[in-house]
Amino acid sequence: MKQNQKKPPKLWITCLLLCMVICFDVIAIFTPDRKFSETENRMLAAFPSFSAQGLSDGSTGENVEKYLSDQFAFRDVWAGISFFTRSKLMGQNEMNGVYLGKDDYLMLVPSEPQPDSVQQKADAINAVTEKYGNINHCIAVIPNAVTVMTSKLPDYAPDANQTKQLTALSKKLKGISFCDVTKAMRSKRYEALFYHTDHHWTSLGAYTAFRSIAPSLGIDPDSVEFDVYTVSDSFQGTLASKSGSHGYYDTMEIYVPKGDHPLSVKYSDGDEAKGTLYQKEFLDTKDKYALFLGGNHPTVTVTTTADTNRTLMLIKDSYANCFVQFLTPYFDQIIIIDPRYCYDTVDMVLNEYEVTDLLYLYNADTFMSDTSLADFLTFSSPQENEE
Amino acid sequence: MKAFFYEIGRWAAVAAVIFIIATAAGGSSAVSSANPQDVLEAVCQSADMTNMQPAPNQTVKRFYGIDPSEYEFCALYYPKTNMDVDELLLVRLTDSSQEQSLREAVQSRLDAQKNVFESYGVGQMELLTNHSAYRSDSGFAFFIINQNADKAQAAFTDAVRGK
Amino acid sequence: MSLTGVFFVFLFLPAVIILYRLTPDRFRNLLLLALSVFFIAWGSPADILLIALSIVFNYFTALELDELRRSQNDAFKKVVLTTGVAANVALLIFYKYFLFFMNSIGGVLGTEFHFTVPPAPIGISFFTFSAISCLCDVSKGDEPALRNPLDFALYISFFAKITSGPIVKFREMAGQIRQRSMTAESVEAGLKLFLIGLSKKLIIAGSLGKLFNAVRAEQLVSMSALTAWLGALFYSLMLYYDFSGYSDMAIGLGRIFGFDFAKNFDHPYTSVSMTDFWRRWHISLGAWFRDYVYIPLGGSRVSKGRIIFNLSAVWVLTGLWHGANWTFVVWGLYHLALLLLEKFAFKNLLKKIPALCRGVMTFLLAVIGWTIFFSDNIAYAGRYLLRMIGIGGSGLADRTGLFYLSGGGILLAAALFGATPLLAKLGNKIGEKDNTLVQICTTVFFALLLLGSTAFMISDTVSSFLYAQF
Repeated sequence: MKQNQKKPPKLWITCLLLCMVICFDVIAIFTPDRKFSETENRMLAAFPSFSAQGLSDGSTGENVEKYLSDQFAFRDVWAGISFFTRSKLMGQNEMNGVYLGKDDYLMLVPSEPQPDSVQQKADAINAVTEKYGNINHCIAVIPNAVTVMTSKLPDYAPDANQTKQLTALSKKLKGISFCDVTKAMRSKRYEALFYHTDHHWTSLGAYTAFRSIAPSLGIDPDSVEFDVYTVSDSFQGTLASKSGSHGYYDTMEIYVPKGDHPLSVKYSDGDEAKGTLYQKEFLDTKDKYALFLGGNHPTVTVTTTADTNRTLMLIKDSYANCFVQFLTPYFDQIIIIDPRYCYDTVDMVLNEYEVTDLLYLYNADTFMSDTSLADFLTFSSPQENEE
Repeated sequence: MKAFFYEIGRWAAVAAVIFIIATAAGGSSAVSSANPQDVLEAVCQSADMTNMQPAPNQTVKRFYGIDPSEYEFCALYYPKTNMDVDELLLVRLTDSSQEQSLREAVQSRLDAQKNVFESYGVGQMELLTNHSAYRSDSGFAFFIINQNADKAQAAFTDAVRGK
Repeated sequence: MSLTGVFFVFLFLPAVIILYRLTPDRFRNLLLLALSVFFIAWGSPADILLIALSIVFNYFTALELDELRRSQNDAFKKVVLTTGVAANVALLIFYKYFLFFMNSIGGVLGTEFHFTVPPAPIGISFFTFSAISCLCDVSKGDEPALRNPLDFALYISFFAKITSGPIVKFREMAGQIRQRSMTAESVEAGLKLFLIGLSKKLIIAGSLGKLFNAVRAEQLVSMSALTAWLGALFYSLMLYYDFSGYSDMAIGLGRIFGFDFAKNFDHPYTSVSMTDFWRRWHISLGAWFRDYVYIPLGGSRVSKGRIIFNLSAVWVLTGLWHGANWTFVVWGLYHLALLLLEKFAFKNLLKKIPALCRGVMTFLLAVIGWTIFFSDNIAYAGRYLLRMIGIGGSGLADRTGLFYLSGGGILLAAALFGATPLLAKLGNKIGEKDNTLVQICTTVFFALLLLGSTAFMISDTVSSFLYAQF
């Protein structure tokens, strides 16, 4: 700036930094705003609206900051740099509640279970088992990747204690077949039972559990064979978004029963019945696991031509979405309920259909922390809500 | 003489501070005389109600674990379809000691909803994290998850303060 | 507005530097004041009025004190000074401690009070202390009052220091407000310091903070000594990097605009005694308490009993200044006890211990102090300290502890190394060599710091500065 001194002052750093800062500003101005970030799996902040209220309580300032940060030039690159610094240079082994495991495995750190709520759920399940004695009741709580694939955990990762929790749960339940699939899954722990980048299990994982659960449902898993198709090799799931680790792509498979098994799938929040369990359009989106049954819905009814005179009620979380493909050859009708989104009650469903079998299928982490299942099982139906 | 002028300046500033604090404290702790129905109408007008329907007491209990009969007034609107997250809760407290437990109930409802939609519903998460608000003012409590949460909040404050 | 946010670093700061450079000298204070008002209004517009009134009050009080000092009306000067300090303290007490005192009294009486106190204005602990410094200095005649109200407003509200200090003494800053110059060297040096502070805060303190929060979420019942110590170390280093990083940023910003603030941290974790530690940790706060509490009470040139009383007053107040909670009081008393022991009981014994041992001991004692500091209540602090000596939890070490060690060990070691003066010495040595290669390397290094800080700024959800809540 001032050139008239004897020794020209060195302003290299000032000039370079100002240039860099202004460059980023200019790039940010000229790149169009993004609405959604695939890598982070969330909506990005839009340019805030200015209001007197917002200006006077300071929230406009906050919103502008969020907007600038969300729409900053090369946002994903910056996230990648900070992930690399934390995981590789600083050696952190857990990021945002996700273990950075071996061989690119990401695993969700299970949340701490609430003893009261587990007891509440067990009581509610026992009450239903007792009330509907003529139905075959089964429950399968699937241990998560942290419990099954222990060899992929980062060194010294503490035990998630799920085995203990499941044993305790089984002791609380009465009159119901408790399917413990831990052993079956542990025996195949070196295979890809869970996705590397998603908190769900793979179709292989579901199939392994299916073979172990089948006897409790009174079905023979060997009576039907399945064709395995690979439908995607570019799946990056929720754990990739949550942790910021984007170096691995998962392969997705589907298991289709051999032979001709026409079926119709009706969604409670959709209009038309569909002829398949798979909604292939989701393979082109971020949420590829929604391939199975189109993601989460309050109620899904699958009607098949199995002609076995059996109707299954499946009370479940999203783990079951890729499990249903193994059940279709064995039941005439499968009513799939996700209590987290369903305001109905168990009585309403059981009165409407002639259910012969009832299966609770959850993953251990969701089951232990969930609160909607007990509500679904215990609440009587609100009158105004019946349509 | 100068000192006298400075004294006036100082004490005028002190008086102004006391006045500001007094009005701020008085404004938020007084009990509002507004009619709960009017407040409800005001907030419903500023919120986007297309996705919502009034809820029976049973649903209030199920969502929030609170008993509506314990409050002087309690109204909940909840989504018409289960995959939406819009919600509007307006409560007239019977006495101010209920505020704490109500706030906790609202917080746990919000956390539970976030838990349910995390990593499934991107749009729902957006509403839950950036378009939800809880306000308690002059004996009323108000919770909203809605695209127009900001507007509804302002309408709530105006309505209970009788503006 | 956060000093570590995108808005500040990428829009506000470059705009301010360029504007400042283009503004003629006599309008520069006005420009800085206007920007400071914008800075405060951006995050918390409601605070503007209150801060402005505090400025008005202190401006007139300072002028009056100046007047009375010159007319040697000592009796009335004392009254004006006392009421002036009392008004500032009252404001601070009302916003920060009123609820705490009421709850404590209610706890003793067994009743519950229901009061609502509006949220405290931004930086209240810092700007009231700055104001008190001004009144005392003017009253004593160390520095004449600032006649221009805009100049005085800038002293209180300068955006670099209003949120979290440093608490620059009036007699050190007033002259610089009247007269200072922006030189190429000062801009360059200021920017460098700002960037060092920014990276300390965002990269190191941010990462240590995540590790500490994870430990903090662990159940105390099953915590091993290893986990407890790691948690305490994560916190101690996070606090140091966070606060000293913030201070570097503030001082660097000051330097860009020609101010020269004294350093606030001087490698405190390499102190050889507690007395030494408090000469190097949050220097501006310690100096404030020394100049405006300890020395007015009589300082060290009084009887032994009186010294103990004076020190007790200073340390209870220092503890309380950090927050309205009994844990901070206990933390203050803990440091008081250590200082008294050092001063009176073990003075001769300590001289015989090698400096390295004393250094390690001082560090560990400081770490133990921080565990009281970060606890929510005394009971938690007590249980946490028991875990640190392996009582009550799951022994000396367990898998969880090893897990934290394997995930945080590298960062911890690097942070410990960075807390010693070795890096700074190395930097200075390289800086002495004046050739093009060194210049290029330095420039690249600071460009990388900016890129690294940006990465962490963008990818981490903005967490507000820890000391801003004090």
